[in-house]
Amino acid sequence: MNTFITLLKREYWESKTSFLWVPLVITGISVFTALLGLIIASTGSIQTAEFGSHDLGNLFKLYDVSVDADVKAFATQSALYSGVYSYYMVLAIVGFFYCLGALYDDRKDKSILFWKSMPVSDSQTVLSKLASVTLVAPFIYWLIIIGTNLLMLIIGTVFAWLSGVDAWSALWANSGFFKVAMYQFAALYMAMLWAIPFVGYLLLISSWTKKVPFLVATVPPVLVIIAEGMIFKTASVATFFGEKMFGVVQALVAPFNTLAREFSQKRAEIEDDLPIFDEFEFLTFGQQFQDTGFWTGLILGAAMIAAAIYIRRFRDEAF
Amino acid sequence: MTNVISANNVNKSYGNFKALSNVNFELGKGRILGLIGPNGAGKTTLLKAVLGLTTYSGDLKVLGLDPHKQRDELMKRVCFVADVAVLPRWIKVSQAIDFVEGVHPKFNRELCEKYLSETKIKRESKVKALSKGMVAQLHLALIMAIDADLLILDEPTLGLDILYRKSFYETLLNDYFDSERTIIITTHQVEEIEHILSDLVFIQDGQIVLDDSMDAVGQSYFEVMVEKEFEEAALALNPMNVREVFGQKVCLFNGVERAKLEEMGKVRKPSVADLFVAKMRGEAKSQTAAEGEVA
Repeated sequence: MNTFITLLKREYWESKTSFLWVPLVITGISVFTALLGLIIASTGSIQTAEFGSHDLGNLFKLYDVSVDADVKAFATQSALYSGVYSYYMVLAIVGFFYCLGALYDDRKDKSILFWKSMPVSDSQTVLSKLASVTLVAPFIYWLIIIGTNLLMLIIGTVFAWLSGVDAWSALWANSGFFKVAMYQFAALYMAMLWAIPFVGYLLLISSWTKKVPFLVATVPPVLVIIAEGMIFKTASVATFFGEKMFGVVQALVAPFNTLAREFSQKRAEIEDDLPIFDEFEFLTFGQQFQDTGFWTGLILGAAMIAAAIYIRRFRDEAF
Repeated sequence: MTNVISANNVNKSYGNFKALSNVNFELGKGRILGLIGPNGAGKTTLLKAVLGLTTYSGDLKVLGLDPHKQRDELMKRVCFVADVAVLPRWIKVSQAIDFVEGVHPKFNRELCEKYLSETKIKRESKVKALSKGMVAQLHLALIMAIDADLLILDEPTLGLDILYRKSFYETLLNDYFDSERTIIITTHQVEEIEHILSDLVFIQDGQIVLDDSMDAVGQSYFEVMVEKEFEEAALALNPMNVREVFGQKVCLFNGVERAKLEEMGKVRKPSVADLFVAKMRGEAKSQTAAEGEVA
C-alpha cells in the first residue's frame, strides 16, 4: 500500500502543473473577472424593461425581495453547478495528454530503466497512472471547483453587504452548496467511468507506440471512420466513439437535469403554465448503470489497460 | 557455495544477429566481477537478460530466480545503474529520495544522505538543473543506499571526473561491499577497477572468451620485458601478444612456466587492459585464420 501511495505521489509530482496549477489559474481568472465585473457594474447603472434604470445594488435588492425562494434556489444552484464546465473541459484535455505521455515519456528519456530498477511491478505502475488520471486528478479539480464556488458566494456576500441586501436570504439559504458539491462529485466520477474506454485506449497507445503517441492515437481512428464511411456507407465506429463521448457529457449534465426537474415540479405546484423539464433525454445515473454501451465501454477499457500492462512488462527495452 | 548467477547455454538473437551465443558462466556470492568487452560485444544484452529486461533461450538463474518470469521478486534483491543520466529530468532530488524510500524496503535514508553530503547536490534542485556528473552521483547515492544482494553497474562512472571516480570505487569497496554482496561492473576504464575485481569475464561477439578469477589470471598470464638477447627464444614460445616499449619487446604469455620466463627478463602480472587487448587481437586473428581456411 505504501508503494502504491508513493507511486501516486510520483505521478502528482510529475503532473503538478496540469493537476493543480492549471485549475487554480482558471479559478484565478474567474475570481478576477467576477471582481472586475462587480466593480464596473456597481459603478454604472443598468436599464431594465420593467423597472427602469437602476444600479446593480438596487437590482440585487429587487431580486432579493421580489423573487420566490425556490427560484432563488434554482438560480443559485444552477449557477454553482454550471459555472464550472470549463474545469471539465480542461480536465479532459489534461487527462488526454497525461494518458498519452504516461507510459511513453519515460521510455523516451530512458528513465524507465530507473523506474524498472525499483521493486515495483508493472501492474502497479500502470494502475497508479490509471488511478492518478481517473481518481486523483478529478478529486483535486473537484476540491478546486467547490473552493471556487465558495469564493463566488463570498464575493456575492460582500456585494450583498455593500448593496444592503440580506446575504443569507438572497444567496446562502437556498444555495444548496453541499448538495451541488455532491452532485458535482458524482458527475465527475460518473463521467470518468464513461471515459474509461478512452483512458484505456490512450494508455495502450502510450505503452505500445515507438514514437509520436498523439498522431498514433488520433490518425488511425479518423482513417477508420473515413474508410468505413466510404466503403460500407456506414458510421458504426464514429457512432461508437460518439456514444461514449455523449456518455461523458450526459454524466456531467444529468445532475443538472435532476436540479431542473426538482425545480419544475415545485414550480408546477404554484403555477400551472410553466413548462416541466421532465422531457429531457438525459439518463439518470441509475439508468446509465443499466446501459449496455456503458458496460461494453468499461470492459473494453479494462482489456486495453491489461494490454498496456502486458506490453510494459514484456517489451524488450533498449538500454 | 551458492551461486548468485548461473548461466547455462544462454542465447539471444536479434533477427540474424546473435547477441549472445552459448553463454555459460557462474558467479558466487561475495565476488566483484568485471565484465569487459568491446562495444556491441553483448555486455549490455547479458546484463539485460540477468535483470529480466529481455527474453533469451537457455537456462539462467539469478539468486535462484528466473529473471524474466520472476522479475518483480528479483528486483527486491537486485539493484542496477543502467547507464548515467537515466533519472527523470523533472524530479527533485528530495522527491527522488522520498520515492526510493517509499518503494524500496531495503533503502537506508541516512546512508543516502551521507553519500549526498559528500557532493554539492542541493535537495531542492531538479535533476534537469544538475550537471551530468551530479546526476550520476545522485543515482549512485540512491542505489548504493539500498541493501541489495546483487548490484549491477553498467558504465557507472561515465562523465564523472577522476576525483569522484576514485572516491566512488573506494566507497564501493570499503563501505558498500561485504562478503554477502556481489557486484558486477562493466566499464571502459578498466585500469581504474582492476584492483578491486575478484573475477574477470571477457566477452566478444556474444561469446565469453575468458572467465577466471583474478588470482587464476595472475597465475597463468605473465608479461615479460624481454632482454634483447632472448628475443628469439621468447617469440619461439608463442606469446599471445607482443608490444614494444622503448625498443624493448614486451611479450604476454599464457600457461608458460614463470621460472622459464624469469630467465628472459622482468616478469610481472599483466594489466587487465593489456590482457584484454591481447585476447581481443588473438580472437580476431584466429577468426581471420578460420575464415581463411574456409576460403
